[in-house]
This record gives sequence, C-alpha cells and structure tokens, in this order.
Amino acid sequence: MTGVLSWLLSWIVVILILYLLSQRTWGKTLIYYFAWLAVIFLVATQGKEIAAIFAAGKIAG
Amino acid sequence: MSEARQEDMATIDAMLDTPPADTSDTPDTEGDKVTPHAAPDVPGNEDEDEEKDEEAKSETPLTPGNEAGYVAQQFADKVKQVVGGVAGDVRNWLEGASIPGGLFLPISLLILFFFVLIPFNGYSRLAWLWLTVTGNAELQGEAAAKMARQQEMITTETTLLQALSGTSLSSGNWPTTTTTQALTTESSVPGLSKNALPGGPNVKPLFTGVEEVQ
Repeated sequence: MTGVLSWLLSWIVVILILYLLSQRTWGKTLIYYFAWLAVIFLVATQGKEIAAIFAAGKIAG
Repeated sequence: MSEARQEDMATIDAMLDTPPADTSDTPDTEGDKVTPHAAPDVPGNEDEDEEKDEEAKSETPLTPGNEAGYVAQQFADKVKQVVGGVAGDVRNWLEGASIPGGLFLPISLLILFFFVLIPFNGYSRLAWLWLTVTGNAELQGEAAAKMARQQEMITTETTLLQALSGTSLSSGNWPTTTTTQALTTESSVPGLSKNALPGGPNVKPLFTGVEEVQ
C-alpha cells in the first residue's frame, strides 16, 4: 500500500508541477520542447519495435 | 553642452526648491539616484558622485579583511548581474518562441508511443490489450480470480444447457471445458502475436454454446 501511495503521490506532484509551469508563457514553451525531445528519444530508442511494426504491416517490405 | 545651457539649468535648479509631487514622468532607474533636472553630462555632477564615493569609502577604511570582503561583494554582484542577464535572455526567448500544435500534440504522441512502442513482458501494452480482448492472454491476481470464477459460472451454465439438450451425462461426472489457453508460440515480431491473428495456431474458438444447444 505504501508503494502505491508513493507512486500516486509522485504522479500527482509531477502533474501539479507541469500544470503550474503550463500557466506561464515560458513554462508552456519549456514543457512543449521537452515533450518533443522525449518523443524524439522514444522513437530513437524504440527503433526496433517501429521496424517490426512496419515489417508486420508489409509497409517496409 | 554649451555653457549657456549649463547656466540655464543651474538657474532652474536653483528656482526649484522642492521636487515635483508627480513622479510618474520620471524614468525607471531601479534604485539609481538621478537628479531630476540636471543634465547627465554636467561636470559638476560627476564631481559630486566621486565625492560621495570617496565619502562612502572613507566611512569604511580598507583593512585586509574589509578589502577581501569588498572584492567578494563586487564579485558576487557581478556574478548575480551576469546570471540574471542570462536568465532574462532565456526567459525572453522562451516567451517569444512559438509552439506550433500546442501542448496537445507532443503529449498525445508521447502517450500513444508509450502504449504502442514500449514493450512490457515481451509485448507492448496495446498488444497485451489486444491479446487479452481476443482471449489469448489472461489476467492474474485477485481481479483475474474473480473473472475466472465468473467464467467458470458461464461454463457451468453452458454445461447445464448441454445436459438439458440431451447429451448423456453420468451421475457425478460433470464435463469440464478449458476456459483459458496459454500462449504456446512466441512471435518473431515484438509487440505482435501470431495467436492474435485470424486463423492463428492458438486462436480460441468463440463461445458456441448456443449453437450447440440448438
């Protein structure tokens, strides 16, 4: 139960910080570009899965 | 500046004994002392400033300790000024930068890729959802046990319907059917399961009890 509470509270804190940042113009821009950075990292590190999906869909031959 | 203008300004300063009550037109100098009606490049004003500086220095004589503190203070002020300038520049850039698509676009992509791309126990979360919905994977734990009991009740009802339809049953020997089917083949494609494909090797048949009764 403690682990669940820690997990929940951690996410609440993260979401609260992101919400407060998004209320500022500079904070919104900061979140925006960090989110795109995370997308790029995710795509770059999961290239194998992306290739597999395209291969299964006969898109990449 | 001409000497005539300096004399005029000095005359005006002499006539104005009290500063104006309305200070809304005065420039924002953030604490700097500015004489309201004095020309900035009048030599006399510079002399006054230098005298004030000398007076301030004479109040605190420079000993080795004070000198070190003075230098440290100057250094700290310089660092504060530089850091504040850089932070201000960054803030100005962030406030002026455009965010095409808004926050919704990158965050929704992150959530989508989180479900589609990141594998968990061999399959992505979307693949696990598909496998679970199609009956090729099962949940474990208390919730899964509850679902299994419900499935067992359905199976029992199906068996009873089969019995009522004329199937011969020996007393105390109720037929049982398999309610779960484990994955037996690993897919070569991470995130996808051969079992989930139509006509796959382990596709579980859909519920056909009604058809069998009829």
